Amino acid sequence: MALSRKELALLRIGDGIATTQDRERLSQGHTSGELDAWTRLPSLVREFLTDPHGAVDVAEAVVEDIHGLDDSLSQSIRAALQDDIPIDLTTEIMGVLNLTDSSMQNLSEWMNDPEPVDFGASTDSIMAKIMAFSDRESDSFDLDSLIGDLIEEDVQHAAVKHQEPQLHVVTQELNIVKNPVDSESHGAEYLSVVEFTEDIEIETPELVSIYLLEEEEDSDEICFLDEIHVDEHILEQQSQDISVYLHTIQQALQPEDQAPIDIWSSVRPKLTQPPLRFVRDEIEVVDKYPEVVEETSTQVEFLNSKSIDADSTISKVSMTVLGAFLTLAALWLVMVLPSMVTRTSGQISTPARPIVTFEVAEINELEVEDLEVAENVNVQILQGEENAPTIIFIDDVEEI
Amino acid sequence: MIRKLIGMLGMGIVFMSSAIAEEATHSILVAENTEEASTAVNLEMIVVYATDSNTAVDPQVRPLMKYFRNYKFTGFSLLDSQVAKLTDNTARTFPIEGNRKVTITLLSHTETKVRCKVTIVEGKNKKILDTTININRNGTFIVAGPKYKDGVLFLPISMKY
Repeated sequence: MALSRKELALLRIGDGIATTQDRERLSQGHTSGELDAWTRLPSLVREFLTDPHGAVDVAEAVVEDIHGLDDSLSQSIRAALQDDIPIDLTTEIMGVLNLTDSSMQNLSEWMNDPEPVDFGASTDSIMAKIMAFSDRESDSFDLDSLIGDLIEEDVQHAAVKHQEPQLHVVTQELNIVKNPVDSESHGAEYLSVVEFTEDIEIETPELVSIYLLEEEEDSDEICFLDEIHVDEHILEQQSQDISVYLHTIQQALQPEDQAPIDIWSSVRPKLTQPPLRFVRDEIEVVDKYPEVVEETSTQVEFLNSKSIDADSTISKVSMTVLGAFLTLAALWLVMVLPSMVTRTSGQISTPARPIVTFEVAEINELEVEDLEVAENVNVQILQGEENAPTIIFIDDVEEI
Repeated sequence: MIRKLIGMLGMGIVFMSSAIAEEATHSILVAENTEEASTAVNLEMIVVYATDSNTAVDPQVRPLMKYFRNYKFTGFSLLDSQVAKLTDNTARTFPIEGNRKVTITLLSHTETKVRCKVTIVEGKNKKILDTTININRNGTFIVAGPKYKDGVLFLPISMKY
């Protein structure tokens, strides 16, 4: 790629690093309005790209907003801003993951889609396709969406920080932005890399591009699904699946000689939200224990303080009961015991049901004056020996 | 507390005094009864359960065993004993096993013999025995036969005076 001194001066004035010589060189061929527009161009592009409420078609917005440039230069700027960015990184990730899922394939197609880099429109395309996937394949949406989301985030971080050599960029006529610009406040992150030399001819042009992945994160849908299906088993399974995919993604994105990519730091807050919520609930419950303990200790103190009074009360009650018991015992000794002794002696003389020592007299004579028995009853009068007791034996006839 | 104890002891003394008075009255009554007993007849009755299911003999029944040998029963146990003082024309009823009642009425007695009536009612009003006998002084007779369990009851009755 060859750059003229004039073009290099234009780049420098756009970056704010133009020297006096550059300005003099440019003033020969351009008006002050053009130079001013050219100076404003990088910041203007950055402003439109990072404005969440800005125009959807950034290229058109930039061209319309900037003035003082001739038509050919405006067209060049428009063409540069609309440069498509095929990203081979996605294909590589797909190959490593070896996923055949339809939604992932469609995502891959989208990422390789040679549409103009109209980021607003691209975002709409992303959402439309993802929504289409979720409508068609609701069963696989959770995993696909999750992985797609991961890829988006990981591609941003990995591509920004570690994957410059793998970004295959089609170079256009102009290189606009030099430094990477982050706009984390909007969740958007894009990288612009331009490398040039002071010489006219650059033998090995490197990356000259505008690469933007703007994430319009809408995690409510994922969280909604999690809240519906989440349980311990699903969370554990998802955690395992995510760990596998993240490990694979790390392998795909990480060069061998570089430090591991900290993907978890960006992914974990979203992935672990439902479990954290559950854990927080548990923690709230657990946190109540100390309060209970404190109350218990308070109660203990209260009981202790009361126990002193209780002891005194019990002592008083015990003394009262003991005194009453002793009094009753004394009364029993004085009143009841003599009475029992007296009655016992009386019972000896006149027992209510004394045990009879039945003695039979030597002579027993019986004369039956009258005898009646019931019907069906037989009666026998027996005497075994002389002077023996007579036995009147009655017996039921039926029994006989 | 001490006042209460003293008060309770005082009340106890009062109650003790009244109890002693009651006992004295009771002793007098017993003496009066003893004096009446000289003209009364001491009725003694025991209830013996005779069975052939065992051979156990109650020691209190042993003096009567020689009168029970003519029967098939081998086991004799004392179930109950009753004592009563009867005067002429007085009766005494004793409940016995088998929902029965034995009523002994002293009709009269002389120096040598006693005239009495013995009635056994089973259930509410089934009179299974109604007899009037004359027995010598201090004599004994035995009413037997009412069934009880797997045996019968023997009722030795004495009229002593």
